[in-house]
Amino acid sequence: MLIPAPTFRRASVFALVAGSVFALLAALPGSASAGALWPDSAGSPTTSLSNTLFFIVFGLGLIAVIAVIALFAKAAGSDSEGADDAAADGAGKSQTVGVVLFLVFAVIGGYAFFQNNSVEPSEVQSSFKPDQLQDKKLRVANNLKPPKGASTSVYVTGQQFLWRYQYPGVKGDWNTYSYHDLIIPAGITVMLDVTSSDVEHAWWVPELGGSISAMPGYINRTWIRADKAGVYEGRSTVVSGTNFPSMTTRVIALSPRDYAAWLSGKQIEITEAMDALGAEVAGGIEQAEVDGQGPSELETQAEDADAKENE
Amino acid sequence: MSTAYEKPEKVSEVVVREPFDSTRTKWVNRVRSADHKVVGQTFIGLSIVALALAGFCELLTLAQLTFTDGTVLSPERFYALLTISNTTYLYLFALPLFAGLATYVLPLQIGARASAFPRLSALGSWLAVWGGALLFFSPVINVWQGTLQVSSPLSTYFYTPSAGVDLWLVAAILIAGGLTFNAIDLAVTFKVLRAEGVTAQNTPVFAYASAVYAYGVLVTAPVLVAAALMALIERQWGVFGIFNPVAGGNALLWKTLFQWFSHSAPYLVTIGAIGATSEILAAASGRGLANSAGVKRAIRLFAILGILSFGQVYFGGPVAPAWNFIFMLIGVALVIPATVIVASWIKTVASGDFRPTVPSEYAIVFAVIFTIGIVLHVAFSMPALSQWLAGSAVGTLNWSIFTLGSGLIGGMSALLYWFPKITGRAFDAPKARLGMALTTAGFAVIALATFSLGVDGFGRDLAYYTSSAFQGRNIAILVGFVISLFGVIGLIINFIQSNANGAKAGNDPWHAGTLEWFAPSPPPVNNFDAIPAVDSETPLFDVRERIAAGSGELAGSVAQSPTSGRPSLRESKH
Repeated sequence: MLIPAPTFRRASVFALVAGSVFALLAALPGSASAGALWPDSAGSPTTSLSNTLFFIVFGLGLIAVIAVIALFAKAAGSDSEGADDAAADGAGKSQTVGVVLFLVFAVIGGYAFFQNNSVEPSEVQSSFKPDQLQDKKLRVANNLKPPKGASTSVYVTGQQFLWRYQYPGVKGDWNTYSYHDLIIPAGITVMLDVTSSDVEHAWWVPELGGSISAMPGYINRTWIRADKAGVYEGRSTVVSGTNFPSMTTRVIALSPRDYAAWLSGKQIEITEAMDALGAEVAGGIEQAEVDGQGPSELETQAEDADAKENE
Repeated sequence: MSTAYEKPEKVSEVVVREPFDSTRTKWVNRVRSADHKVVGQTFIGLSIVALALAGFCELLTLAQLTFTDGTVLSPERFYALLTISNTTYLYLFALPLFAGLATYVLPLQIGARASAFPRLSALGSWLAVWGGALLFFSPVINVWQGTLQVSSPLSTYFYTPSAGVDLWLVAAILIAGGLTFNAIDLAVTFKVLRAEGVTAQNTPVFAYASAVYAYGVLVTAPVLVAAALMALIERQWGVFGIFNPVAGGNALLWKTLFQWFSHSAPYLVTIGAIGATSEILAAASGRGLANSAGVKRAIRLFAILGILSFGQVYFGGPVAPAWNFIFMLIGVALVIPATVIVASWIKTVASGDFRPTVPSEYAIVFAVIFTIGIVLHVAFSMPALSQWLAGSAVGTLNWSIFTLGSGLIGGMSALLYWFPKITGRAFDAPKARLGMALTTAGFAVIALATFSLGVDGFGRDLAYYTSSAFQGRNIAILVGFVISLFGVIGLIINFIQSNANGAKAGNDPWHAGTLEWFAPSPPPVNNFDAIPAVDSETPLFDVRERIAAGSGELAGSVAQSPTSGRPSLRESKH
């Protein structure tokens, strides 16, 4: 096999440059356990699946790309091997290879699909009961079948440019809610009912799974589970306006006991704050009456209009 | 010469009599022309200008991203520039480039003297130019800032009252409408105007790919026109709640209608690049394309699967999981036609006498990029991976590979290949090689850096970021872009200079096999006076074999010039 000198030189220079760039990038430190060219390993059952898929698909892909480059280099260098078999030859073989590759990827993808839809139930014993809050007018669609076992749920609303979380199951006068930070119990499946109150958003915490679409008019029901307690950063991934880059979120996974304490504490906080606000408003009205300011200008105008009508 | 109209006996004898009106300027003549070659050049010219303008816009956005918490551009300006550059890369550069090449080359390759509806095609080309002008004029008013997604209901009047959205929608209607008109012309030309002997089996691969591209555009682009019209109506008369759920509409509907064209478009661009690469490699190997029947079937399947895999946009969305499974299978099935195509290319190069010329070397580079694109496509067809990566920079890479990889690398190779035919001059090979090398190297750097950012969690379409861990790779992207920029500028300068005073190229500088190389360079208005007998996919190879067999005559091409009034085209059949 005789490769003409200029082609060989060019090919080897190209390979050298490409290889060193690749090696350089691979050696760069990434975040946590990620290399520069592969993602962090998982913090949740969903991401461990995605992680495995990543290595399989891109690993096979890398082999395919290297094979194609090598085959072309060999083909370009080799002498003519007879052009008679123009139509017949390659036909059957390459189609078979293609179908085999399709089956391989289809099996991998299918397995991943069913795996994602039937995760092991969480091992944590807990008395949480799923209690979904929903707006009955919205269409509900199931994105992932949740695993059996203990679970709780959170109602996620995307807004321009914040994430609002509502927590169920707490007795009180007010909804328990939080903005930006989602507090969940670690090790327990958390069902998310995701929607949006204005434009399209998508909720994405890389260490806990894929991005979850927040469509106005729909409730997207899916689930996440954080295996360990910790803080996980996330963001929105659909451009929702000019402030979109700062539409981040954070998931704080606490141990189930800490979570229960936080939840009841939050309800107390909110109740106290709303009571204080009510008192302030009431006090303001009383003060206005004492100061002799009387009813507001609008009320006076309304009375005047009524009086004119009745004349 | 009789001036009365003589009804031709065969369709392939239609002649375009182009009156040269010396009272009008050259440019007016070009606009009024009914010559498919002029229309093709309009599209190609549009794509080159669009590339330059989009590149400039992207340069500014990349400059903003080289700084952590950058303040080079405000988010409004950043998104405006990002919208313009993404829209332009896909709608005004990649699609028109292959539309133009198809319009120019398809009739020549099938031995037609004209295209079926040249003035419709011309209208399409100028509609696309008009749409492009509107898009680039919109900063004067206020540019739409929602990126190429134009996601609803962000684009409704309630959330974005600025007239920039209306301009974007009108530009989209004009461009998609223009491409549709051109596609009608291409499809009908392919079906009806073939010379005798150009059967389905003997159709050259690029002609076939152009027809598949045209059918793809016919199936997808009108839907964008309809959707944009609906969005415009909703913006003007908000009482019609079409996409805004507050008024009773459905936000998912816009995504469906828009992505049906916008997600499929990169695959249509890739089909054009596949066709061109097949021709280039076959010519450089001195033989016809190996397994060409299989490749044509594969191109058809590629188009169908590429369009149907638009369902990937629903991954992670509020749809039943069963759809995820179906669209995964459809997406992964693309591996089958891709394997057939790449194997055919390798076989062609292996079994022929490969001569490394600039177009053929970079056709091989495109083949590698195509493989990478298929790998990414398969990855994004799996819901678990797609949901995980689509919101990151890897999603941008997935889009870029088939839009810019096919459009830039594949498209530039194709332009270099047909440059001698279009202009009649040879380009400067060493400079072209350098230009392509720089473009490819820059693209590779950008791709690697983007992939690395994406797997690290860097989001897509971000106007700024606050973590300095991402800064190094963003600088690398800018460096890669500048390298590519020099490459592309070098290529464009090469085209302009060679067109002006390059060496004259003959009919057939590449010693290729298809009919367009039989016509003079550049071809006259009626393309051919004589057409050789067509018995296979590579009629010129057959002609050369017959000459080499010693008969000394161009057997099968006894032809009369149509202007002498004799309608019969050939007198001997083989």
